[in-house]
Amino acid sequence: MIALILHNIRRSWVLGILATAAAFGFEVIANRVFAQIQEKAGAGPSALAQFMPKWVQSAFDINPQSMTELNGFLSVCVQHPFLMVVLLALPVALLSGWLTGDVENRSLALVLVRPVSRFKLVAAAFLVMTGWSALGILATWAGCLMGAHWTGQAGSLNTAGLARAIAGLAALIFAFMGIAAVVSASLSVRGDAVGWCITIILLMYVWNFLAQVWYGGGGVTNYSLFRFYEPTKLLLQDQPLSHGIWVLASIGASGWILSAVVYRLRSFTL
Amino acid sequence: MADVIEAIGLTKHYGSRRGITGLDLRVQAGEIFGYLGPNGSGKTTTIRLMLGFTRPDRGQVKLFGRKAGPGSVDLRSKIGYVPGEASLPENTSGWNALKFYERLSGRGAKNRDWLCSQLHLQEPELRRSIRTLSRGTKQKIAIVQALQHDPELIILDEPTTGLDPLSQEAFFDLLHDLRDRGRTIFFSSHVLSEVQRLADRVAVLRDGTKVLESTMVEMAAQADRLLWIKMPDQREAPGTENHTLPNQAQNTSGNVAPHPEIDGARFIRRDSGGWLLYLLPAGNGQKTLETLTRLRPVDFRFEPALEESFLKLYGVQVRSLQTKAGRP
Repeated sequence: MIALILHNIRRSWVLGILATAAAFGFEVIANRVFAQIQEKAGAGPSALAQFMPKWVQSAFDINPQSMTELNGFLSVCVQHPFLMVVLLALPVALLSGWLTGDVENRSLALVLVRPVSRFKLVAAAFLVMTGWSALGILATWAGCLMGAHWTGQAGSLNTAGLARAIAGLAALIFAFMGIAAVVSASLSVRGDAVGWCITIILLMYVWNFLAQVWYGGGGVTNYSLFRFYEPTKLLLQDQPLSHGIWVLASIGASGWILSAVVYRLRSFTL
Repeated sequence: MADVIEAIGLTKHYGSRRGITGLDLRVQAGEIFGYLGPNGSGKTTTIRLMLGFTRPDRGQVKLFGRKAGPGSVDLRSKIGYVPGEASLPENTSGWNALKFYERLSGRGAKNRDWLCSQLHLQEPELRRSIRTLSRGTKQKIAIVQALQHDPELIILDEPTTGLDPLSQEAFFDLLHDLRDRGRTIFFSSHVLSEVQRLADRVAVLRDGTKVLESTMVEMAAQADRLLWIKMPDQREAPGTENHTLPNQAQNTSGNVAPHPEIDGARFIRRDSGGWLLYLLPAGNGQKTLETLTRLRPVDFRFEPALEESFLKLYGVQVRSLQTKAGRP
């Protein structure tokens, strides 16, 4: 098991470090941007938010008034598409490589002929993937805290609210990790696994976007997993963690269990 | 002797694609078992089932008396497997890959140094990234990873792919050594000469079905014979009157001329060195020798037409001999 974990770490450290650095850097820069705008425009980013079309405000759950303070600005930054791409690309890239890529290039054969159960292969993928994602999420949190500290805004940061928002982000990433694990464990061609994962994530993201925009009209029912991630409420309204976080965590856990079962039962043409 | 591999009515189809059908097979401890068949005949499917990569539709395969399948994890510490084109982890060195597989095997690597020296695998090569290595060197590493933990059963699926003749020779010597130490070797190949050199027993697979299982000695005894003769005067060579030198092209229709004096002998071809090749049925040795004594050839040579026998099993006609049989 240790050998498998070390093997996965050796194969993923470049991507893992890059994603961690990107998440950290993004939040630090976000703090800097907020400070700069506030310094130059006086009114803060709310002035910018005023010019945003209503549907964009609705889609990102932006209240122009809340953008006058750091917590409001960060509530948008922790659901920014850049951060989503960085943190969601990691499980898609790594899990498709470990669970599908090794089938495609047949290197799995040399592992499966050894006394290693298939469960252990999935468990090793789970542990390393969870480790890298946790590091990326912690880096996001650290980026928010350090950025606020470096720009002299630490006093205005709602640290408890930020912790809840980061917990929500962790649950969201965990849910998509579970989905990526099931898809990767079921397929034999890495391109197919990546394609399906990206399709699922994009569909959910767009669906959430449309549902938020049309929510007032009651036009679209929101089945997207992104609806369970509500950093604005967690950061600004000081709401406790909602049931959404448990829904996301359950989906993630179910995905991993299902992927272990699929991997155990499936045939490999190696 | 105990059966190390036992397949009983093993059947596996991939949808409409054929795999193997009703395969019965027994491989005993300490033997080299050749598993021959053309591409797509079902050799790799059999190995996948043995190693538990996939499940049979019907039947079962037992290793060391226990049912093999995806869940038979503890059995696998006794197995070493060399695929035809091994996919090793590219982003690491050969040395790290061998250490990784050693840790997974959990049985140490007591054979590693010996294997590396036998296969002329030098340390600088092992320290290089696998992606920079030649195909042959990668295959040598694949052989070492499979045998370094001294497995009781060695399963080889066309293992000489990519090896140069010298390395092949070293590999065959190594397999003989392992057999002498009591290891069981299951050797899948489509190259008859490899199996002929190595195997104690052989099974031949065609279209997913076993068409022959025999020892190499029995097989050689039952095979037709190739008779090479060099006559003092080539124009007088019997049975070849219709063929002038060089006559290979003239005989490509598959029509073979009978020899008027040697019972059952059929003329196959004449090569540029003046050697004449005949195909004789098995069991005619004494009569043929008597005839040869009378004909007084300059030289002659007998050999079992093993390749011809295999080709017949695969449904290929005798005309392939006109180009395939080597010179004496």
